[in-house]
Amino acid sequence: MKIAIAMLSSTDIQGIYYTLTQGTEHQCVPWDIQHKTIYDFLYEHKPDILITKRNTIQPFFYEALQKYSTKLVILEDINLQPAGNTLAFQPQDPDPLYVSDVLFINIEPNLDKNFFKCLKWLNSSKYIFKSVGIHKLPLPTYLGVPSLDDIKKLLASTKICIIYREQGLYDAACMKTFCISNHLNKLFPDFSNIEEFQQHVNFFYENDTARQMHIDNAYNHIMSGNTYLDRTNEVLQWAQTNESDAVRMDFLESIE
Amino acid sequence: MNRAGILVECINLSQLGICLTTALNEIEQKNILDVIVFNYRWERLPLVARFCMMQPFEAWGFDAPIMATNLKTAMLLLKCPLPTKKFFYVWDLEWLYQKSEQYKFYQSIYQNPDLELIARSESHANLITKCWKKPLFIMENFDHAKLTELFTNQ
Repeated sequence: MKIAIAMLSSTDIQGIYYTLTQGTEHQCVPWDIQHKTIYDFLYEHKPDILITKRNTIQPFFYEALQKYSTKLVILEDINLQPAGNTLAFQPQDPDPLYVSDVLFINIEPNLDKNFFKCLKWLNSSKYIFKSVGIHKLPLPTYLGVPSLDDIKKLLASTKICIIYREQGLYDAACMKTFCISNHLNKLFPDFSNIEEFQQHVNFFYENDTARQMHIDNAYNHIMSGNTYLDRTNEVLQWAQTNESDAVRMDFLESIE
Repeated sequence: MNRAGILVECINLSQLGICLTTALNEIEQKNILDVIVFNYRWERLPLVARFCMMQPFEAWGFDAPIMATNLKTAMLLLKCPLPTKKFFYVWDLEWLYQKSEQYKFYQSIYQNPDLELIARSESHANLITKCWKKPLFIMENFDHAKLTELFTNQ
């Protein structure tokens, strides 16, 4: 089956893309929406399925999809649970150049005030704290924008990773990195205020066994049906019997 | 006589310019070390300079220890094949105020095995050690005694 995939900046689309290109026998083509129109893209590749997210959809897509008999799958229609991208993130040895006690990878443009207080505390603590990310942080330990390779090395070489978004927990768990998060989650301990945060950091920094126990639990959770290979199968199964009709509705509305 | 080079953006009426000129004038009087400053831009000097100044491209074939003073000059220094030893005097913590520089870029300089870091103060040294690697030593404001010791021991 030929599958086209758009909106590669989103984490779940990335996970599905990795799986389709490396973990299945389907032919997968990425579509850069900014540089190619839907007509040109469909004419060139003639995919059976187009997987994308709702915010990329335009009313005129319906005509194009109908013309080339391409089935549309909008990920929001399937309600996928978070999963681990085991093809992109795998356990690896720590690299001495990337070593830290606590790590924070920032992918949020606006951090919560209380969360930022926690980062400020880390910055002045005894721990070797490093922060990186696509959004600059006003901290002296913010060290720039990392590549995927850097992220993997940083995750593999830290004791505790602070995670702001749930998806990040799954990626870190795939690499067997211990995390704490402000999100209530199934994988790692969470915190709701700075006192709890400090307790977690102090306790888990000293306690290797407790850290390892959480790492093993999280890794086992991911490997038991929570990888993107499982999610991709869910998407393809859904696509066999369903189709996202949002485009048709938008199209009809635009005509009216 | 021992020789050494210092790469700077420019010597002007800044703290770096004044401290560097004062230190090098002091060193020049002792007549044991010949320091050449390689500077990118020519501006009005804060004090009378009693040392040589050359264009930065000349550092390429300079076969003595050289010290860079910012990321731009450190990048140039790393590309020079002849300097016998390469130092980076971290005058400013530049990763703090760049717009959105890549982690890899900073790492290629601050954690480069060919480059020995020198910190400006205790607090800078602590931060540099946490973020990148341990500086060789702390030298405040181009301290002429430490500078002479560093270059004459190479």
